[in-house]
Amino acid sequence: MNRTWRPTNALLRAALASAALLVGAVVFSRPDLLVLGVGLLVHAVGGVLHRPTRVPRTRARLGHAAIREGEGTHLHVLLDDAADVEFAAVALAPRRWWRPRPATGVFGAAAVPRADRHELSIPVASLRWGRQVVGEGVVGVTSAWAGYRCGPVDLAPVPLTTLPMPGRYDGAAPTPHPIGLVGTNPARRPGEGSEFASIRPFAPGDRLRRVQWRVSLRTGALHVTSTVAEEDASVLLLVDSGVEIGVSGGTLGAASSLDIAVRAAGAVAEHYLRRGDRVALRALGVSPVSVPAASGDRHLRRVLDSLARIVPGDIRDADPRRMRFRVPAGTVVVLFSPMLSEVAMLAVTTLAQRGLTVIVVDTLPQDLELTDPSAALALAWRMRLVERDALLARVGKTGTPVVAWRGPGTLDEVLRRLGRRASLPRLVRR
Amino acid sequence: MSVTSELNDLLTMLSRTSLQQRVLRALVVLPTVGFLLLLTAAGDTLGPLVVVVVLLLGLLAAALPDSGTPLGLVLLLVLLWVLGTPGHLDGWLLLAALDLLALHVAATLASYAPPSLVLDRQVLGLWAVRTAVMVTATVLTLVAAELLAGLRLHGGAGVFVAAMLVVLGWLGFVTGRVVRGAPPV
Repeated sequence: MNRTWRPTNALLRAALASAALLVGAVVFSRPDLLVLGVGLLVHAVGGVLHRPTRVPRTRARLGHAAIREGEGTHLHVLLDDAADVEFAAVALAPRRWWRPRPATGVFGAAAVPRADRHELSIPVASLRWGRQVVGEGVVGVTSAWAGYRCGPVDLAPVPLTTLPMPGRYDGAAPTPHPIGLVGTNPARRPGEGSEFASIRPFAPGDRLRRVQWRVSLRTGALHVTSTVAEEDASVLLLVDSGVEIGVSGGTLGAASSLDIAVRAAGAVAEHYLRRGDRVALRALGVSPVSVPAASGDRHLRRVLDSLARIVPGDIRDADPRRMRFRVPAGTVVVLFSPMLSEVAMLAVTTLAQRGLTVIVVDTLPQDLELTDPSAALALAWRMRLVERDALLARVGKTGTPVVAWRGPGTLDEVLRRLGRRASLPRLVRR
Repeated sequence: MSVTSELNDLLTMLSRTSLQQRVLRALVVLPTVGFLLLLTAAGDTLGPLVVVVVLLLGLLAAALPDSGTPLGLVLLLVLLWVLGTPGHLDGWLLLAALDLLALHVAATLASYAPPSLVLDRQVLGLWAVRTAVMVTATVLTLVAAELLAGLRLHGGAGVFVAAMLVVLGWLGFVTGRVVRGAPPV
């Protein structure tokens, strides 16, 4: 790191070579040497006459503090006290999850003459959700006539939050236990909604527009169409971040189990929050992510931001039986997990025993390939899959449905089945 | 760091070089070859060892334009010119001066930033103007030198001392500004 102006090799070359030629021309009375050296002399004069006097200060900022996966923003490298700067170059260190343009990470631009501030705008794209720092690299500036150079100076990296990909989830099935006041899920009790419930005799308080005229004429008594109330539901999204299976390729490559889990959780959260339901989030793993249930667009941003903070890692002493999930009765719990750990299994059984509706979304990548095709590793992986099958069988015994994530409609069928089952009596441990 | 790893770094760096930088680096090598041809045309007889050394230095200067190698190359070419040519003020001299300038400017542009950088048009335009100024100064100096040679002026000790004072004054000025760098801020 060098924060002072130093003469460039080009200026030294021009100065020394022209000086040697001038001395030679005078000493040996050789005017041809003067002709050879005068061009270099012009460069040397230009360089030293534009000797810089102020050292520029560099800082960096991002155009957006948070973007979605695959989206881009600009890294602005700002140079203050840059009146002496003629050209500035930035070389960014290559990183896995964000790409600058040009892809080499080396970007340079001429400065506005005599302007006190110079700005370099480098487009960068984020390739994977998560929190990362952008802009690790160096900046170098050159004065007029390439005479002096300042730097390379380390560039202070800037934090960037990359939210999971925009939701690709849509579901038509209502949640089985709507428990709120207003919403879009048909409840079990009658009320002011749009879902048909029955045709019953008129009672005081019924609205005239609800009168069912055909039935009333046929029976001779006034009948009305009744509807079921529509309520909002509460959904808890549990992301199993204890283990990450597969190698993430970001937006350009294959997805790991954690990629699938985070993107799916983001999409489901977006879907339910847009419908007006309440969504809570919890990560099972080393990431201290816990978002209480709430609704609204600001809450969606909070959920997505919390998802971006998830990092893979297991807590050794984690016991879901002791965890407080702080969700009301009737909450639908959606667990996103590759189902390879006992913690996920315990979470499912614990929540199911508490009377909550639990759905497991299997996030194990379908096209998983071993990077090291050794026989021992293949055998170990097969054993792991056998253990997983045993875990899934235990989950099945608790009555918890397991579905593989396939985007839109993933939860529809299980939610309809759960809705039908919700109307049946059942035994719950209190 | 071993020589192997340094060579590996150099090769990696060259493999990432942009097309523009490749052209600029070629413009360091081509004038080197051109200068050797001009030396031959101006009456010098070059030994094969000298040719090999100059060409190797030219290639090294193209690979490492932001180093002392181009300076060594320029000084070696100038030395060959001093030793091998009679010093006539003719067209070969003008071509040699322009050739030296091309080498110098190409090495300067190639040394702006890492080799994957592509210089924008504004910088190239600036250097086109500057090169034109340097070429004009060279041509004017040649014309002035030919005119003065035609006048057959005889310089005495006073003229020599005055010229040396000018040169040494320039050297002192440059030393102050270049060797000591920019003032602390």
